[in-house]
Amino acid sequence: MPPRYAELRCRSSFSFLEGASHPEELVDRAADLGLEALALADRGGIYGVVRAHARARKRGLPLVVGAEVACDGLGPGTAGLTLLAVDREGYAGLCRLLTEAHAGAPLREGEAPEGTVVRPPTPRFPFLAVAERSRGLVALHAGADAGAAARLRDAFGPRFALTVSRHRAAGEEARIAAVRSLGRRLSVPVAVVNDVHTHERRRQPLQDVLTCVRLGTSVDRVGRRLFPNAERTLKGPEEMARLWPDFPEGLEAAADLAASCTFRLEEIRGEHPLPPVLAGTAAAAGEGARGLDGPVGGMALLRHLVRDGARWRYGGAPPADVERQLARELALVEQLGYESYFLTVWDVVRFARERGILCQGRGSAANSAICFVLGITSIDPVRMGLLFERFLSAERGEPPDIDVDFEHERREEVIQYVYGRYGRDRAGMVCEVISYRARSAIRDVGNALGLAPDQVDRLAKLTGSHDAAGEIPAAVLAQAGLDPEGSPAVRHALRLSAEIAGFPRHLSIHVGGFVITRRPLVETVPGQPAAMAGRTVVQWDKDDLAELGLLKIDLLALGMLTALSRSLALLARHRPAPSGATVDPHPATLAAIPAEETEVYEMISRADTIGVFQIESRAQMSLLPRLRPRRFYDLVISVAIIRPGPIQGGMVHPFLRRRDGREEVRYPYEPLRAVLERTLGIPLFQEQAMRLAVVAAGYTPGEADELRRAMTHKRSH
Amino acid sequence: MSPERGPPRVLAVVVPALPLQRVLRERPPAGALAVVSEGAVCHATAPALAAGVRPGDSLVQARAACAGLDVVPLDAAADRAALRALAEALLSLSPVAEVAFPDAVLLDAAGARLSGSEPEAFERALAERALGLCRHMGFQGRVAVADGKGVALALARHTGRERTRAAPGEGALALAPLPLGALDLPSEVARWLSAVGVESAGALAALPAETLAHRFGAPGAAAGRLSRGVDPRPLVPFAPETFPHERWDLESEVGVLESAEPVIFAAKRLADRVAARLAGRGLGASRLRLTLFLDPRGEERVDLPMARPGADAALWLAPLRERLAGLRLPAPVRALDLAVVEAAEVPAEQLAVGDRPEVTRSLDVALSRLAARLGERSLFAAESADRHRPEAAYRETPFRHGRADRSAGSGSGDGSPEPPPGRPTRLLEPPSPLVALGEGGRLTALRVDGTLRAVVSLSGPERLAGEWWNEPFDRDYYRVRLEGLGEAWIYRDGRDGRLWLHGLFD
Repeated sequence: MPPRYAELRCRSSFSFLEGASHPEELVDRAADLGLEALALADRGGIYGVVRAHARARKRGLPLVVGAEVACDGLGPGTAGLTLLAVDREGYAGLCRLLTEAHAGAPLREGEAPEGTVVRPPTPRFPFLAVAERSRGLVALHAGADAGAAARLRDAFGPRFALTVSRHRAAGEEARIAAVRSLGRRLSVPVAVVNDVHTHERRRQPLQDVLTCVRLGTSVDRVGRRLFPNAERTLKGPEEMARLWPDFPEGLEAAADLAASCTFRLEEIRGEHPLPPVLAGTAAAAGEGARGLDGPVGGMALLRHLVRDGARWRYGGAPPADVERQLARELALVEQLGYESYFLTVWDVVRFARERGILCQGRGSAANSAICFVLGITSIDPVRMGLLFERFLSAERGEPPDIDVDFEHERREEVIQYVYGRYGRDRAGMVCEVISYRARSAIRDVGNALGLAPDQVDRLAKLTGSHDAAGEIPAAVLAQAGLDPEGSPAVRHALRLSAEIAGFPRHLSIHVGGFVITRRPLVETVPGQPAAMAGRTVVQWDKDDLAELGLLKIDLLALGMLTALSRSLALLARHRPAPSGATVDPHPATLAAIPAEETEVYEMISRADTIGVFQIESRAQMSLLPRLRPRRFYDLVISVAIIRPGPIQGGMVHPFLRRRDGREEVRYPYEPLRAVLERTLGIPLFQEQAMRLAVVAAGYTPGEADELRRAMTHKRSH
Repeated sequence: MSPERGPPRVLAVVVPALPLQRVLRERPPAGALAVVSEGAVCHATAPALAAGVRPGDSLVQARAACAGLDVVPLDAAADRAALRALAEALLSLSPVAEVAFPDAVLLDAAGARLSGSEPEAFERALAERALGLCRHMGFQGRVAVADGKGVALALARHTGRERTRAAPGEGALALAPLPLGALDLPSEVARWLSAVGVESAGALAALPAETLAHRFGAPGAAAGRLSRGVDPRPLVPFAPETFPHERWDLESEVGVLESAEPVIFAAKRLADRVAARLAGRGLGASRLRLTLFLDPRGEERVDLPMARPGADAALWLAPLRERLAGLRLPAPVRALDLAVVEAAEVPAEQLAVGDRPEVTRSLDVALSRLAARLGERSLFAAESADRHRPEAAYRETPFRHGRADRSAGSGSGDGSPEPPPGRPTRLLEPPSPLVALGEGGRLTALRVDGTLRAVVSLSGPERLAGEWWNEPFDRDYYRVRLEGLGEAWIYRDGRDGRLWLHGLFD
């Protein structure tokens, strides 16, 4: 019978500056080795567990969710404890514990300067707090203190186990014997763990470097604070069986414990933690929406609002193609169950408009007719030929992402409205994982390897124009007096800085992302306080939330909206409408500002655009006299064309030539005329790429969106 | 002036006829001998004086009075060096010493006030210790304690007694009978006073104070004050600049030395003086150098590292004897020089209950002899170094008896130190290759240095790997008990699978 083993104690790169493997690497390796399960237990949080979960789902590997904590009051000093979630209740308890423990360590916005080490502090728990939340949790303890073990056994009952590890270090066998003896005396199971810090032994040099960065020292001075060997790595059942011929029951115990932990993060998705349609939303929707409150009424309320909104936008019944589009979108929203999302955003935008706070939806939400008629966005997607699947599709399997800009000076009013509406225990800010980039990587690695400060500076400067230090050509390095062939330290620095790029460096706060949950937030994801009082930041970033289908809205701040608001206010104050006038000649809202004014386009064509939103850069000012925009869509093209995609794709000059009539407008395939006509046969927009896939390659819109995401997606690490 | 803040008490140590004493301390008891300078006798021994030689005689006159007179030229530089050497030794008695050329050292005796109810006893004890140190340095001295350095000097030089003490406030009384020359007055002042019939310190003291001040200004006022036993001038501290060394030119005194034993005897005398000088400065020698000047030319140097810094000449002799015993002198020795090459502060150590200083002393002797016989580099303490690589996990440091080994903690990789792992008592450098013999997958014997030894027991492995940034290593260590050899520490190199013997457990 083949041996069974599950690794119960594993740290990823999200045990900042300790674990030397990404969560995905650990999952892949565990699956390749044939482990029965993997427990990811990072220090002080579950920052990386969603990434591991996503990969584990693809690989079919059971992933146990846990965290490593430091416990006071168990015995003398602070004791390490690994907590694993058995069920949903246990998971909620773990999230609560982690939230309480981080209460005294607020997060700040922004990236820490290069060369500084900012690491989430190790949260410490009083033992009593842990004991109170022991339900649904497995506790693992590596010590041989009988008193501590007895207290843990009393608190956790059969869900407590002692652990032993064998890393071929001096003095280990005595410790193993002591723990096994203690387990027998107290009738506590003893499980084998390997205290994993890397997914493979070859990653140990990077783990050594991380230790040096963490301790603020170099490899020459760190001494025995490094691990004595590379044995704290993932090992498969066969290797573990060879390592523990004297204690096979310890391997079985580990596998059994993992099997008892049945909670999977997927259960959070299953909860569909979208906020209920709150009381008052229907009332706010007006007389006709009375009685449409509650979960059952959510879709009905949305349909009501869409109907009203369409009449408002089109001055009566909308055109047939708009009706069809709205019906299609509503059907998809109902199928995916995202009505609450739209209602939430509508409610926030409604609040802002009632307060006279300028706001506007942006990004892919502009592809939604629902968003248009609800007043969230200002572009008619049907008239503009935009694909709804860019915004939402069944294939994507994640909720939509609506970014709304608000006047930056009044965004706080909106944020406080959200907190007030949903409660501070159900709304929280989204974190951002600041990862190592090329320069910060080479600095920290260079210092850890003991390179001279001027060498580190030179390498960092050279790295600036490359994605990784390892990409710097040898000739360039030689010119800077750096010789990888002749200097092992430089060679190692280049290699390891490439390896560390993308590793999480510290946590920050996303600029405007908010997560709202049905259950108290603290039972879904641990939170940490933000530097600004009264705000909580969850331990997951926007990609993690999207992976689990958690509702996130982005309440962003835009200075230009503040400028516009002030302009409108100044107009109203200094140039009021004459008395008796029936029409106010001056616009009170953005929508009232006349579009397509000739004088404005002439000013723009002269590149007299300093202070004009989106078209005041030097690149824009050099393009505008050539483009000579005459209507709004010309400005759309102007903004779209000065972007990395069209520039690197060589689209700019062909478009300008065709615009000037110096080149014939051609289409490689006649059906593509409808896709590319507005841009003279040159693809400039992501939507056009999607429609090309649909028209020319037969993709469904959902598949076309997947293609677009594959082409453009860049995760935070 | 309150009793607590009285005039400064000074102990003056005078070496009468220092040039003569310096010469005589290196020679066996001398007959008629005179020290001459510029053709005139400065000092003469008792036999020479008995024969009619007088200080001030010309050399011709002196030889005429004493036909067998032995003449030694004055060596002012050597005399000054000898006086400074004495001052170094006397620094052990007082925080401040002043060298008063040509023949005296002045010490701050203010400690008497702090001694409580018996300042006189303190001063007398101080004086005895000063005389003892003089003898240790080869001199017969005279001491005087009084208020102020001028008073003390005058008393020490001119009373003719070996010990003189003027109680506080009684300096004038003590000085009164002394001739005016005892006060070392400026020559103009002395001439005028003599011309007006003032011949003694007492007579000078009787003059109105303003008379001298009016006539001679400040020097005159000072002279008056001195005669009245008042000298508030502070001591000018003497600071030795170099490490001490003592030299003995044997040729004219004992002749050349042709074997080790007499050299050792001669070196002992030098060692006593050097040790006294070091002790005066609170220093201990951690390395000495004995230079043997050969006849007719050439020199041999003997370096003596000490187990620990010290100023005990007796401890130096054992290693010195070891080194000289093995030394083949290519020529007779005509002079020796013993110098301190390295020194360190040696604070006085407080004994704790259970301490056995005699054991410590014996250990120091043994260690110094070992270092002398086996070589300096053979004696060291192994202090833990913070490295996983076993051969780099210790560093050589000078042996310090009784100091706890503050070795760096070993690592768990998480930054928390743990006690260092057990290691063999002896580490082989380089490791010795092994050949393994086995049976049924089990190690049964190892061939060590050509000898086959059965494996009695085996435990391990302990895996040590790392330092990939410099010289990577990857080893699995085993503790193996071998028949006829005991417990050994072996490893299998992970890079090539070879076996090596790295250490032995004693």
